[in-house]
Amino acid sequence: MKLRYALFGLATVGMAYGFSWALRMPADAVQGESARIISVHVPTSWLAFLAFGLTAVFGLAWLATKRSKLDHLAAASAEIGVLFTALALITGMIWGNATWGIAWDWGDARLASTAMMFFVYLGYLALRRATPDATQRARRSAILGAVGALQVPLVYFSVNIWRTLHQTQSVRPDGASMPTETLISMLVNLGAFTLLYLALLVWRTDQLRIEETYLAKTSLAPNAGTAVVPPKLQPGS
Amino acid sequence: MRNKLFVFPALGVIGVIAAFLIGGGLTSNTVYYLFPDEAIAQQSSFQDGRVFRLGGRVVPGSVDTSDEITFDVTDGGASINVVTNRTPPQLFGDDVPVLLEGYWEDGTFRATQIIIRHDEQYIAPDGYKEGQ
Repeated sequence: MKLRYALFGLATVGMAYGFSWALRMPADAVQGESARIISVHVPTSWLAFLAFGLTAVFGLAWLATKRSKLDHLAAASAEIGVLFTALALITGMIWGNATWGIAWDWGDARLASTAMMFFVYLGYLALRRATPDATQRARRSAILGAVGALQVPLVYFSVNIWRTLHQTQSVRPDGASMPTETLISMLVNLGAFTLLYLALLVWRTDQLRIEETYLAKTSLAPNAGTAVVPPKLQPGS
Repeated sequence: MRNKLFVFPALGVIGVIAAFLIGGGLTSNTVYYLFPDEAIAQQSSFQDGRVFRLGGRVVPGSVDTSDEITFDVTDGGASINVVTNRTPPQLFGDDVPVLLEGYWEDGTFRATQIIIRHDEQYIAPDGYKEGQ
C-alpha cells in the first residue's frame, strides 16, 4: 500500500523531470521540434519490451512453483505492456505524421510487427477473461505469455531484418547517434517510466489478488435467482 | 482435454508469427522498396502501370516545380527521373531520403505518394550549444 504511493510519487516527479529534459534537449536539424517526441516514444517501446519479457518470466515461474502471486504479476505486467505499446504506437504515429508525411504504413515491418504484438497481448488479456478457473487460467496464460514474448526480439530486430521505412536503432552498444542531451532525455524518461511500470505493477498485482479471492468466494455463493424454485406440479392436479 | 485447450492459444500465436515470417520472406521477392539501381535492373518485370516502391535521395538541384513537380532520385548509382502532381511533405528538399509509391510511365517514375525517410541520426541544429 505505502510502496505503491511512494512509487507513484517518484514516477510523477521523474516524468515531470523527464519532460523538462525533452523540452531542454536540442531540436533536430532536419525534423525541427517534432523530434522531441522521440524522448518519450523510444522509452515507451523499451518498457513494452520489458513488460512483455517479464510477463513470460513470471508465467514460467508460475509453471515451476504454482504460486498464484506470480500469475498476478504476469497478468499485471501484460496489462502495462499493452499500455506502453499503445503509447509507443500513438507517439510513433504523431512523429511519423510530422516527419514521414504519413502516420501509418502496413508495409513497414516495424510498424506491422508492433501492431501484431499489441493485438496478441490484447488476446492474452481476453484469454484470461475467458477462463474462469484460476489454475487453468494461470497455465494457459503462462504458455501464451512465453510464446508471445518471442515477438519482442522480432519487433526489435525487424528494422535490421527487413527494409523498412522506420529507421534502425539509434541507441546501440557502440554508442548513440544523437546529441548527449537527447540521450540523457531518453534515459531520464526511461527511468521515470520504469518507476511508473513498478507502481502500476504493484497496484494491479494487489488488485488481481483481491479480485481472485473475491471471485473464489462469490462464484460458490448463491445467485439472486437461486432461491426461486419452479413449482413441482403434482400428477393429476 | 485440458492440454488440448491451452495448446490452442500457443498454436495460434506460433501460427501468426510463422505467417508473418513467411509473409516477410515472400515479400523479399517483391521487397518493400527498390533502390534506383534495382528498379532499372528489374524494369522489364514492372511494366508501365504496375505499382511498386522506390527509395533513394533527391538529387540536389534536380527539383523543378515549373509545371508538374519533377526531380531525380539516386542511391549513389543510377538515378531515376520522377514526376508527380502530389504535394510533397514539409521536409521534402535537396538530398532528402524519400520513399515513393508509383509506377513506370515511359521511362520516368510517376509517383502517387511521397514519404520522407529519416535515418537513425539526430543532429542538433546549427548554433546549438550544449548546456543551454
